[in-house]
Amino acid sequence: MTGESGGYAAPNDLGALRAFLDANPGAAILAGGQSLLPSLRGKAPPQFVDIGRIAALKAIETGSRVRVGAGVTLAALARHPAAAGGIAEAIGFVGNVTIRNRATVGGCLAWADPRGEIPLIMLALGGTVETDRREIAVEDFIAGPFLTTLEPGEIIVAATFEAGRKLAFEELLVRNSTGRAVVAVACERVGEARRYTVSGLVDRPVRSTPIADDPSPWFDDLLVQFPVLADASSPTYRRRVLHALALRARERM
Amino acid sequence: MNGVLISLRINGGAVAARVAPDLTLADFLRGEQRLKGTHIGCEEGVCGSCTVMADGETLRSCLTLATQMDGADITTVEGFDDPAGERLRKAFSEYFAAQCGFCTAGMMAVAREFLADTSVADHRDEAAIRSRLDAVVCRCTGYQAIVAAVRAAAGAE
Amino acid sequence: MSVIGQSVRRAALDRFATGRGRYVGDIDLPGMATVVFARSPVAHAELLGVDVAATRAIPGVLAVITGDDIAGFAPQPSLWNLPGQNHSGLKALATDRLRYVGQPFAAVVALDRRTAEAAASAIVPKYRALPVIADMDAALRTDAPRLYDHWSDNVVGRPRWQAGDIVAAFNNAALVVSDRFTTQRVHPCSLEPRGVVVAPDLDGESITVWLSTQSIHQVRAGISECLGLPEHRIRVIAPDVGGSFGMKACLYGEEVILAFLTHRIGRPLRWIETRAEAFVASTHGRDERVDLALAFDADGRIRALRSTIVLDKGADPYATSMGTAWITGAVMTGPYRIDTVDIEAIAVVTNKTPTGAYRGFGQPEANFALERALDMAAPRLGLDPAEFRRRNLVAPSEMPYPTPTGIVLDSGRYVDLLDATLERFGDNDAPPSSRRRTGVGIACYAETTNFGPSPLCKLIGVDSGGFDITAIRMEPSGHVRVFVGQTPMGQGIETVLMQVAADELGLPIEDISIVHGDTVSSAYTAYASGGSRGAGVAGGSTALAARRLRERILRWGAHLLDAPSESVRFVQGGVEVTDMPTRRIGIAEIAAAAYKAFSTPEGLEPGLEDRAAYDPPALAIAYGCVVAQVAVDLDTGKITVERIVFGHDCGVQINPAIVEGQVIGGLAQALGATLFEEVRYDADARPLTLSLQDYLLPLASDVPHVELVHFETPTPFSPIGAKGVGESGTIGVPAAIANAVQNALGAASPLVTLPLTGERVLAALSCDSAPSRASG
Repeated sequence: MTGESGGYAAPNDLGALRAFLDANPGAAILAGGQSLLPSLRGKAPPQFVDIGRIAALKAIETGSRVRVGAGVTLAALARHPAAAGGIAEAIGFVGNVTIRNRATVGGCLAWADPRGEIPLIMLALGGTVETDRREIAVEDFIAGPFLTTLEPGEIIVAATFEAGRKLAFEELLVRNSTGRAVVAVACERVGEARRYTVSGLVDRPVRSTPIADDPSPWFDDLLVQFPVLADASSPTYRRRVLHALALRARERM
Repeated sequence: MNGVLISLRINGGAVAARVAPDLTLADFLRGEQRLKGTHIGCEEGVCGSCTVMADGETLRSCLTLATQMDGADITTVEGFDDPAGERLRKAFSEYFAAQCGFCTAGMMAVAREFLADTSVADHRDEAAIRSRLDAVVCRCTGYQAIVAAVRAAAGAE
Repeated sequence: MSVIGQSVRRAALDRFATGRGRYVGDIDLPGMATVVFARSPVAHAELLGVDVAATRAIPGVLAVITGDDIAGFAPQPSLWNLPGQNHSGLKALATDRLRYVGQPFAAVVALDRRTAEAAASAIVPKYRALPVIADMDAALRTDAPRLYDHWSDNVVGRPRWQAGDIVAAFNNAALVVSDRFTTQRVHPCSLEPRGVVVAPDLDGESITVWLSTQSIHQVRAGISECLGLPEHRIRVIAPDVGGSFGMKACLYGEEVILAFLTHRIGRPLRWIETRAEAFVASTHGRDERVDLALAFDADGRIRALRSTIVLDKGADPYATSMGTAWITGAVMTGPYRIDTVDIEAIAVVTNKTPTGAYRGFGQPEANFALERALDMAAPRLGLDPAEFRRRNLVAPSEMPYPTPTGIVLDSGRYVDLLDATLERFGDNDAPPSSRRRTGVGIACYAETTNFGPSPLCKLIGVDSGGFDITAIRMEPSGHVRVFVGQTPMGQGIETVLMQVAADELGLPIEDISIVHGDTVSSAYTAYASGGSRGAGVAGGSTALAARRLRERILRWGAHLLDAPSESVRFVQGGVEVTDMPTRRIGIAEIAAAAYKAFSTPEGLEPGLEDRAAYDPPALAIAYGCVVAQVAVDLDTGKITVERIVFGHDCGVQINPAIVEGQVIGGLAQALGATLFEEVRYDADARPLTLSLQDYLLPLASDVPHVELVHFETPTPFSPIGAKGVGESGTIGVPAAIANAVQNALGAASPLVTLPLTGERVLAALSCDSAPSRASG
C-alpha cells in the first residue's frame, strides 16, 4: 500500500523481499529503525520495506562458524551463548536496554557508524557479511564513516564469524552508559601476540595484524593511513586513551 | 485515504486502523488513539519519554512505525492497571518518583520491564536499577526518588 | 498534628502515573493549524529580503509572515533593565538583520505539520554575510564590529561594586590567589520543549493562550505590550509544564506571533518546539567567565576580593537581560566575611542564541570561582580546606551581615552546617588502586531566595514587583479553594501551598483545593515562579490570607454560637467556646450559614473570602555545604562522582520529600554541567550542539545516592519561616566536584574550566597546556 509518497511493505520471506526491492529500487530497508528513522527527519518519507517478518533473518546458527541473521536484535544476540566470547560485552555498550530490543545486527552493519560496536566486534572476529549475492569480509565491507560497499539493492542476510573466539573489550563512554563511544578496542590473543581492533580515532574501525609488543606505533600508522574522526575531544587525547584501553585489554587476555 | 491497514492490541483492547506508512507509533498513539500519556521529547530515540511496551519489551515509539506494530500487543502507561502496573503506580506516587511528569510513562515502562526480567538476580540492587533506568532521561528528580520507587515495587512483590 | 513538615503526597503524581498529564502538546482543538518558524541559517548577516510568494501558494499553507508584517509590534520586553543598559529593540521576527543561527525570520501556518515544515524549509532568505562576533573576547575588542548600530560597542551594561581600600588590601596581603574561572554555556533542556497553542475567542478580538510557562501574568502583559492588544483580552493558561528551570520564565517571540495570527487566520494555532529547534530557539544558560583575585592574611582570613565577570549574553539582551551577571557580582563574596571588594560585571552580545534564566541564575558561576580559589589558597597557607572556610564563614553573632554588594546574610549557622556535613561524610572510604585516584572536595554556599521585595526590584532594574497575592475562599460546603499566582512545573508548589492553607485553617488537606495557572482565575504574582520564592513568598501570602479567613470564620462561629468573639477558638473541624466543647459548631455548618446569610455578624458581609499580599521585606538567604567524593580514572581522565553529602538549610521545610527532590534534582543538573553538558559553537558562531546525542544529560547511573543533612533556621523574612530551595542543588556542586577532582589529582595544574572533560583532566595531570579544542 502506498500513500502520496512512500509506502510500507512487510514481506514474509527473502524471495518476496528480493522481488519487492527489484520492483522498488529506491526502497529503504527497515530493520530496527533506530538509526534509519531519525535520519529521515525533514525529508519526504521513502518506501519502507520492513524485514521484521522474515523468520529466516532472525535465526542464530551455531557450528564451527556462527551465523547471525541480519534481523537478530542486539538483545537477542546478547542472550545467546554464541555471544559469550566478548560480543555480549560489546553489545552492553550499545545504547540502552530499549534500543537494544530493536536494533539489529544487520541494521548496525548497514549503518556502519564509525563508532559502532557491532561493526567493530565483527571486524575483530574476522567476520563476514553475507548478502543475497556474496560474502564480504567485514574489513572489505566497511568503506568509511557511514559507508559500506553494498551495491544498490543488495540485501544483508547474515553476519558470520568463527565460533569459540575470545575477545577482551574496552570502551570509553563520556557518561556511564547510552552514548556514542569516544574510543573502543577489542583485543584477541594470537599466540604470544595480540590483535587489536579499534574505533573512535580514525574514520572507521580498523583491525591490526598480530602485534607482540606495545601497539603504540600502530596507532601512529592509523593516523597516517586514515582520516581522523571528528569529535569534541582531540585526536591526541583519543590516541592516548585508546592506547591505555588497549593495554588494559591486553592484560585481560 | 490511502494507507496501511493494521490490527493490534492496545492496553488489552483490539484496535484496527488505517495509517499512513510513515506514521510513527508515538504519533499514532497520541493522535487517533488519544493516548496522551506517552510523550515526545526528542524524536531521535534518546530521551526515552516516548517509551512504551510491545509484546512485553520496551521500545521507542518515536522510532517505530505504527505499521511495524501490526499484530503487536502494546501497553502504554494508561494500561498499567493490572497488579504489577498498580504496584508501580502506587510506588511512584508514594516515593515522589516524578516531578514534572514528562518522563514518567517511559520510566514506568522501563521499570516494569526490569521488574519482570527473570534474568535479573536482585531487583532491589541499586546499581542494577540505575543501569536499567539509564534508558530514560529525567531532568527533574535526579533519579534517587525513582530508584526508591522501583525498589519498593520490587519489594512489594 | 500540623501538616507542615509532612511529606504530603502530590495528587499530580496519580495523574502522571496513569497517563493523565496534559501538556500543551496534548491539546487538540477543532480546526487547529500548525505553525513552523523559518530560522536564520547564518550567525550574522544583513537580511536583504524574504520572498514568500511561492510559499504562500503551496497547497495547505494558510499564511506566511515575515518581519515586514509585524512592523506595528512593540519590541520584545525585557524583564530586567539595569539603569543605563543597552537594549536591542528587537521584535518577534527579524527585520533587517540576522544575528544568530536560529533567529526566527518568518512564520508559516499550514493545515498539518509536514506541510508547514516543508514550506518553512523552502523559504530561503536573501542575505549578505557580516563579520561574526563569535565569543566574548571578539565582542570586547575595541575595533569589534557592532551587533547593534545604535550602541557604541557590544556591551549591554557594566555594573560595579566597590567598597574599602582595595589597593591597600592587595598590597598588604600575605597571599594573593588569582585565576580565570570559566562556566560554560549549557542548555536547561527541560524534557518537554517549549510550545504554545492560541485560540481566537468568539468576540473577534480576545484570545486564549495555552503556554508551557512559569510566568502567566508576565506573558499576558508582554503579549499585550507587543501587540497593542488590551491585557484583559488575553487569557494565559499554563497546562502541565514538563520542566522549565527558568528557560520558560520569560516571554518569547513565538507566542506573540501565534497571538497575532490566530484571529487573522480564524483558527486555533499550535507551535510545538522540536528538540533540534530547542537548541537554538530556547534560551541557554551560564556562559560566564570570572576573573577572581583574593587577598589573604597570613592566618587565612580573606582581606579583599577583586573580580571581573563577563557574560556572553548571546545576540539579544531581552528577557532576563544581564540579570545573571548582575547576580554573580552581587553574590560574589558568598557566605564569607569580606568587606573590601572591587567587582565589575560585564555582559556582551555575540552572534549566539541568547542566554536567559537557568536554575541558579548566576550563583553557580560565582560559587565555582570563589570555592575553587579558596581551595587553591588553602594549601599555600598551610590550612586544610574546611578550617580555611571556618575562619571566614560569617558567624550567627554577626548577622544580619551586610555584604559589600548589599546582599544581607540574614540567618544561619554556616560553620555548624559545614561541621555537621563533614561529620556525616566521615572519611573517604574508597580503596586505593594504581590507575584510579579518589579525592574529596568541599564547597560552601549562600543563596538568595524569596526573590522580592518590590522596592529592591525597582532598585536593581527588575521590571516587576516582588510580591505574591493569594485569595482564599471557603465554599458553602466548607471546602476551601486557594487561588495562587504560582505555577507548578514539577516543583510541587501546588501541594506546598495547600499544606500552608491547611495548616493555618486547621483543616485536613483533603478539604483544600488549589487554583493556579490561569490568568482569569489565578491570583496575581508580580515575579512569577522563579527566584526560589514559591514557598517563602507565595507561602507567605497564602498564610496571611488563610489567617484572615480563619478570623472571619471565627467571627461567624462566635456569631452563630451567640458568644463573644474573644471567647471562641478554632478546634479540629470547627469553632467552640473555649473550654466548653458542648458549645461547638462545625465548619460545614458555619460555611452554609455564611452563604445563606439569614443572620450576618456585625461588620461582616455574606460569604467567606479573603485575600492577602505578601511583599518580603528582604531576600532570605538559604545556605549549604556540599561534600563530594570522586574517583578519577588516570587512563581516561573520566570522573565518577561516588558520594555526595549535601548539607542545606532552607528554613522551615514545608514538605521534606519535595525539598529533597528539589535538592537532588538541582544537584543532578549541576553534576551534568560539571562533567558532560556543553552547548558548543564553532569559530563562525555556528551551533555544533543540536541533538541529545551531542548534549549529554546525566543519567541514573551517573548520579550517586545523595545523603542530606538538614538544618532548619527559620527566616524572619517569610510569615512561615520558609526560604527557597529550588536552586540550592545547583550552586555548590560544580565547585565541590572540581575541588574533589583536584584533590584526587594531587600535583596537577588547577582545574578552572567547565566541563571537566576527560581530556582536561589528563591535561591537568600532565601539566601540559591543554591541547587546543576544535571549537570556540
